[in-house]
Parts: sequence; C-alpha cells; structure tokens
Amino acid sequence: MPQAEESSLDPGATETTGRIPGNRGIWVGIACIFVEFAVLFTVYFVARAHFPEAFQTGAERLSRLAGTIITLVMISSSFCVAASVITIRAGKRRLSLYWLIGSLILALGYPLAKYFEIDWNLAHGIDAQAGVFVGAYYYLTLNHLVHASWGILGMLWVLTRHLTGAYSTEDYGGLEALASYWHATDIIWLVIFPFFYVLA
Amino acid sequence: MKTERIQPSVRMAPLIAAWIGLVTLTLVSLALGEWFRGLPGLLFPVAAIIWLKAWLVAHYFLEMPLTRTFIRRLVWVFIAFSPIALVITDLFGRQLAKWLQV
Repeated sequence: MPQAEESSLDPGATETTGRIPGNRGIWVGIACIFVEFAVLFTVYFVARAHFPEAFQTGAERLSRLAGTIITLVMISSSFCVAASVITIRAGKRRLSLYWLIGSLILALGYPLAKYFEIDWNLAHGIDAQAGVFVGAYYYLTLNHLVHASWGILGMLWVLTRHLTGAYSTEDYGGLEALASYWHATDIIWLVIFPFFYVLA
Repeated sequence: MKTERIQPSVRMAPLIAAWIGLVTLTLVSLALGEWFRGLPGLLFPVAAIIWLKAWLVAHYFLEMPLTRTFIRRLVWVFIAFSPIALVITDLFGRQLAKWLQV
C-alpha cells in the first residue's frame, strides 16, 4: 500500500529501539506533567484517607452532567487529533487539517463547559470554602484546565502552521508533538473524572 | 547492525474502535456510580475502568507499542499509579491516615 510506505518516511521512525512521537522536548514536558499530577493525585489520596466520608458524599454535590460533557469532549478531541496525525501520514493534507480544526472546536468545549460548571457550582454554594472534597476538586480540575489551555494554545499554533503548509508526509513532527501532549492531557482527565464525578 | 524501519499506522479503524470503547466505558462508569452508589465494591470496577480507558488512549492514540522503552515505561507507570493508589487508599485508608498524621 503506497500510503503505508510513505509513513515509513516519518521523522519519528527510528531503529528497533522504537520511535519518539513528536519530538524529545515534548516528552520532557509530558514527563514533568505526569510527575506534577502524580504529586497532586497523592495529595488527593492523602485527603481521601483522612476524610473518607467527605469523599463518599462529595460526588453527589457536583454536576455529573458537566463532568460527562468534559470527558466526552476530551475523548473526542483526542480522537480527532490522532486522526489528523494518521491522515497527514497518509498524505491527505487537507483531511488532516479538517481533523485538526474538529479537534480544536471540540477542545474549546472544555473551557466553555467548565465556565458553566463553575457558574452552577457557585449558584449551589460549592465554592473553595465548601470543605476538603470541594477544595481538592477545584485544586485538581483547575490545574488540569490550565494544562488543557496550554494545549488549546498549542493547537492554534499548530493549526496556523498546518494552514501555511508546514506539515507533510515527510515532516509532521510538530503536529505529532501537539497530539502527544493532548493525549497526555486526556489521560490525566480520564483519571480525574471518576475521582470527583463517579466515586460516591 | 541490522536495523528495521518502524511503520506507524495509517489506519482509521483502530482509532474509531478505541473512541467507541472510551465513550462506552465512560457511560458504563457513570451507570456503575449510579447503580452501586455507596457500595464499597464500586471502587474495583471504577479503578479497572480508569486503567482501561487510559490504556486505550495510550495504546491507540499515543501508539505506545511503537515508542521507545523509556516513554513506554513512563506512560504505563503513570497509568497504573492512580488505580492502584485508589484501591490501596480505600482498603487501607485508616492505617494510611494514621501513618501520615503529623
């Protein structure tokens, strides 16, 4: 299949040791973010061990709908950016661009949903002083939102480059670096979601 | 030294299957949270679903089987950390809280 042969020209392809999706720099960043969130999760577990009742009843207070919308938006945006990488590899530049635009539109749904969620929270008295569970919730979810915002800004940058024809079958490292970052952000959200919206 | 080119996928079908799996697992975890609210056993399927969803993203979207060993280990360790810590916290929470008391 010619498309598959073209993909072997991928800049990330190396010898039998394996490839680096995107570039080394992005993986240094992702490693730092994983360490950062491992520490934040540890804080969550310590709080959960000390105040099990607060964490068992906490999920009832939050908007499960908002958490579900954010999860579906993150999963779908992550899928679209992965599809963008696959299609540029296959030499379908225009299709890759459309997938990336789709990913960006979906990603923008996250801060929007978060805005309405916080609005709903404040209307229901769920502010930073509403106990240890809510404190941990704001601490983790707002931290994640900051990281997702960086990803959205990165998406805008990569989209601009894609529009100017910077990526091709031979050179799409920047697009794949963004995709790797966005998938890592997605994985972190998939861990956060049940902590606050499912476990009760 | 014999070298071989690693060819990343250009197929959409595995991505679509992974996306369907992720949406399904999200809905299943919500249903479990609703049906088994307050039951201690809820923790185990939820922890398993956290791991499975993260694995789907890592395996199909991040293409982990093709990556270098260090990256692969980094991602697998991160993915395993939370479900394991969640189970330990809920099973041994009291002992942990005692040990961690200042």
